[in-house]
Amino acid sequence: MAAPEATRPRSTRLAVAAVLVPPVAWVCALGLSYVVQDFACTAYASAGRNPPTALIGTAVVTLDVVLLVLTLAAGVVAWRTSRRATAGGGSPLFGFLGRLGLFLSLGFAAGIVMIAVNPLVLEVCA
Amino acid sequence: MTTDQETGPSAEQRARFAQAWARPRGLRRILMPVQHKSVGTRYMVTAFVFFFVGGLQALLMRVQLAQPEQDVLSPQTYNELFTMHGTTMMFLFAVPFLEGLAAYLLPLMLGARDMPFARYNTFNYWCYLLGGIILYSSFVVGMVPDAGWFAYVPLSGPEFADKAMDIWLFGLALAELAAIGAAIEMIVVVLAMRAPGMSLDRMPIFAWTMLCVAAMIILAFVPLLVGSLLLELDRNISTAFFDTERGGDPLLWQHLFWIFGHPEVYVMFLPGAAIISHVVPVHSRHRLVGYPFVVAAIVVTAIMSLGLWVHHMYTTGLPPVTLSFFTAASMSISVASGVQVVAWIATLWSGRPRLTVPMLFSLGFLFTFVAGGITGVMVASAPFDAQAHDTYFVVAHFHYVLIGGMLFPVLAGLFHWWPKFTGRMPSARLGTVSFWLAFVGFHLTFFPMHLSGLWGMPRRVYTYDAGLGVGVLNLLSTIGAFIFAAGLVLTAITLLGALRRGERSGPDPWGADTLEWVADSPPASANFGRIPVVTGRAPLWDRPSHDPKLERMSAAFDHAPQNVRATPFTTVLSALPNTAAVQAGPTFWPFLAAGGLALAAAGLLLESGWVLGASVLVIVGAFVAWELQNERELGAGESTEPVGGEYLVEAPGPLSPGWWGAAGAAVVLVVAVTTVAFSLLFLQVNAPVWPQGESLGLPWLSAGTGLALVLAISASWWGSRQGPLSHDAPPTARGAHLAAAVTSTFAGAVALVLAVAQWPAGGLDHTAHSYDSGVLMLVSTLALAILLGLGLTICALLARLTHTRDIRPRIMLQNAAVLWTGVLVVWAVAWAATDLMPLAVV
Ligand code: HEM
Ligand SMILES: [Cu+2]
Repeated sequence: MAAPEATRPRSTRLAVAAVLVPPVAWVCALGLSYVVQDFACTAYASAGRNPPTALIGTAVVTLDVVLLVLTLAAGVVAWRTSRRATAGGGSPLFGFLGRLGLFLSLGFAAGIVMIAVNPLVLEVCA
Repeated sequence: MTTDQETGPSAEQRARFAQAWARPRGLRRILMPVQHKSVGTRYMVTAFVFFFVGGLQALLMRVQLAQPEQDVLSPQTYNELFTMHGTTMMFLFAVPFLEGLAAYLLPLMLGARDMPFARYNTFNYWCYLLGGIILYSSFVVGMVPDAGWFAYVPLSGPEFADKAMDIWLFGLALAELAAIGAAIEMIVVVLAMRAPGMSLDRMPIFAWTMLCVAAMIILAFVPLLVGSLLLELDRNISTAFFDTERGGDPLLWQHLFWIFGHPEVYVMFLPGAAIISHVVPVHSRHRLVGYPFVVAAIVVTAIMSLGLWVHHMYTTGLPPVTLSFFTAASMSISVASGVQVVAWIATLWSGRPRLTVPMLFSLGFLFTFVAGGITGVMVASAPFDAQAHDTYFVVAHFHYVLIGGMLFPVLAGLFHWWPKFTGRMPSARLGTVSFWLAFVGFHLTFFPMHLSGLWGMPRRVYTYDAGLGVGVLNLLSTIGAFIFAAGLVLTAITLLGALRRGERSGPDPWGADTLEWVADSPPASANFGRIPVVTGRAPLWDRPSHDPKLERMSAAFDHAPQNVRATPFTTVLSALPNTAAVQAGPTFWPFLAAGGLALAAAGLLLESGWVLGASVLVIVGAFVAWELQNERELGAGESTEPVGGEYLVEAPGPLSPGWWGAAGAAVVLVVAVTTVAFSLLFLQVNAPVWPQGESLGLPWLSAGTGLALVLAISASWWGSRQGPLSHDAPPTARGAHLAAAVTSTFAGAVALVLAVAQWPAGGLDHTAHSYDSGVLMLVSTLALAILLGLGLTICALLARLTHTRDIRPRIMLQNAAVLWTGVLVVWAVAWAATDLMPLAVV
């Protein structure tokens, strides 16, 4: 049986978003942590001034926490999608999208945590 | 599974259908075919020729290194050989081979009749071939690149490298252009051209993989293309991107190169792994275990590989926090690869494995890859890397990963799909012998290198001291290399020999599960007379279920349409029937266009204005002729009628391939300009003063350009909404299309003039400082983007003037609006980089 496309467009959109959000969030976490941290430190060093390390560290961690929350939220949505698909005896497509979203959310959340702890345990701008 | 047997179309209809898909004959066969199977075959054959050339270079190096203090090769020749070997293997063999495999297999696996933009596909192949020829012309003119496959600045910069480097850069640029084009093709075929019913959860792993790989190519190869351009500018018009004296930084090259270079490894490994995910289930007669886990692992690997480039720069003195961000990502990737390994082992375990030749190569892969992964984890830990960096340990590691992760799977895949490609079975006995030769030879070559590395042998040296005590290890490596080479030559003999003497295979010799095995072996030009309907993940193993909606589409396309080449276009998530996508027929123009680009490269290398001028004429002429032929053919016959009375031939928006192409081009442009902007930001934070003089500061010109672009978008968008969604529109709508196209062209031309005027008006000197060089680069990028937008708008104009199918200009205007929107983003990023970024000072 072909899966019904978008019986309810909203839940379709949510299911797709739950798959797309975790990878995008991880890329943002890595990219922004790197850019904020590395570029800010370097800019101060090039200008021959002391960098505000506490501020930079906090900014990086805050950013990562926000992205982590987004990723986990995507995971919850994905989990509900998959539950609904299996409970309703319904569409294998949505069951799959739900599971995929859940795995991605867990994987990328772990990745974001590993990025976020760095400024906490290592010296910023060393 | 429904195939051709059922009664349906008459003999006469079948004949006309075959006629529509007929391959060109005679001399035309050489330059004109565009069908995905001929293009794919050409890619694969060319790539293997390059593979053997690169292998020959490796053997020469091994001969030199067999004993300490030999001088079979001079140091200079050795440098040239490892540079050409690395470059050939990475750029001319691995990636193009996989693009070719994808071009051949994807439409077959997905149940389509061709790639979405068949002519563009061919164009990419020619670019790649000509790029390779340019690179190898260096041997003819006696100026062989010698700066290593990653061409570090300043070694590759204007001071130290001669024209050889320009040859390298131009050859590579063409190959990269081809890869980016191939990526757009792959994304569209996978997302929108699957057989009815093949929802995402039923998609073959190979298709998932190529989708992710294509995304990686766009995000990773574009920065390399930008990097090569920056280097070329530094070398030839004295810009300052990599020159420390003038605000540049050689590290920028390393960043740009490895943003590409690390994902490149996964661009090779992931398709390799995907081949294994097809070979192992078929030859174990068991479905792949853990399909959703494997898909998730592929996505995680693809995405995370984008964030790993810095690990190649562990020893360049980056701050520890920066490094640890990237170490974290390295470790996560290992876990994802582990998931795939577990899935393969579980599949082997639950199935009934047969020791066929493809299976042997898969097992060889598993063994080698796991070993390479272990050394990879070692290299990925920053302290160990600092020690092993630039020794033979690293050479051993990356050959384990590249050969284990890519070459063995490719050989498995060749033996697996050879019957499909050729209709003949290769000899299992010879295949087994060649496997064992290759496997043993490979380990004998590269295992000892771990030890010689640990004992202190540096890489990239043409010889070593007898006192180092690595003579025996090196001799073993050399002997191994010859055994390995013998295995590969025997593989080639086995496969080529099967062309004549192999047993006939029939459509499905392995009892496999995916759609390519429904088609004839070798497949007919149109792949499928009747488009298959998919109701499960393993269409040939599952019991088919019935779905009238899907079957209606299949019936409508049963040996149809007959006046034009077309294939079903389906929805992204569920692959429900949507429309019919027209597919292009044989033509000469893509070859000419690619030839024009190569001629331009030759003109630049020879510094000949005449050649350059001629090349511009050729390029423009070829593209115009190409477009006119498109419009003429689309105007013909049946293409105005919906297929089967139901499926529109072309429809607006994402319902036809053109929209996807325009969106893809827009994304590529935005990635490109973002790379330039980031490069400038990188230079800015590393420079004590930025900019050195004035910043560009031409708000009125810049705003004018933006406004003109907004006008171009609005005009084409408005035009694309005039008239009914059918092939005959009232004259007012036609007039509106015409007016919209003209306005949009005009606005684009104004934008072009204003954008270009920024450079003289700004009074900057691109040789003075890297900021000024950056402004020149940004202005040029914007101008190029506008030119592309203009090109597409002019196509819409031509479409309006040349034919009566009124929906076509409408669609083209919409595509133009999409592309113009991308151009507007390019403009915004460029403006931010020239004027806003310099304001941020600490
Ligand atoms: C046919 C078997 C092969 C042999 C015997 C071989 C041997 C070698 C040797 C001796 C070097 C030079 C090491 C040095 O002096 O630093 C080298 C470098 C390299 N090889 Fe291979 N190789 C083989 C296949 C491959 C394949 C299949 C690939 C990629 C798909 C590859 C990619 C590279 C790269 C990227 C380099 C680094 C070049 C550089 O330092 O710029 N090789 N190989
Ligand atoms: Cu890497």
